[in-house]
Amino acid sequence: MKSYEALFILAETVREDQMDAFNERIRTEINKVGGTVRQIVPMGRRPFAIPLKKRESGVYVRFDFDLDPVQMAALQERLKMNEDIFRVQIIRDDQPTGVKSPAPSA
Amino acid sequence: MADRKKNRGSKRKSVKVRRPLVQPEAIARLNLRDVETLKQFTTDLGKIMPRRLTGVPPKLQRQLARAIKRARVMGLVR
Repeated sequence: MKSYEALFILAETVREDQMDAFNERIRTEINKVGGTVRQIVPMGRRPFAIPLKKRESGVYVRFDFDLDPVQMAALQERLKMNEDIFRVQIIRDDQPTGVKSPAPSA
Repeated sequence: MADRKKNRGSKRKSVKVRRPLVQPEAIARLNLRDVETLKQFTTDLGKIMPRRLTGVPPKLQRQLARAIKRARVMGLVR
């Protein structure tokens, strides 16, 4: 298991009041490949620094999760199919928040 | 006279725009979401500043470049 964080930009088709449903769908996707979601951090609507696909702003949400690295390709394949996602980036999280490294035994 | 000799040939412009270092704890956690930190290391046009100008250690400069490029993909910095 390794820790990752995924930053999503929602597709324009997802209304902001449907966020919870979206979050649940993504959580299910991660669970299906054997991962566990540690936390979901909605970041709200932010303007883009430069237009992306002629859009000027987007709704961001961050997922912190643990996953077996061999399943990562499978997860990315699944997310590619998901039409609610405008853009997603998954990076390794070496020092996940809320997870303290084990204290050295004295 | 001696001074003039010393200065001969040193026509290269000295560039001394050393930026403040990011805090040590920020280094370990440098992330594409730290937009304000990343912006300190880009020009107004969004170019990544060279190490010559930033004055940060090589390892951190690589992390910075990586984080800035990732942030660009997600529309967080220019």
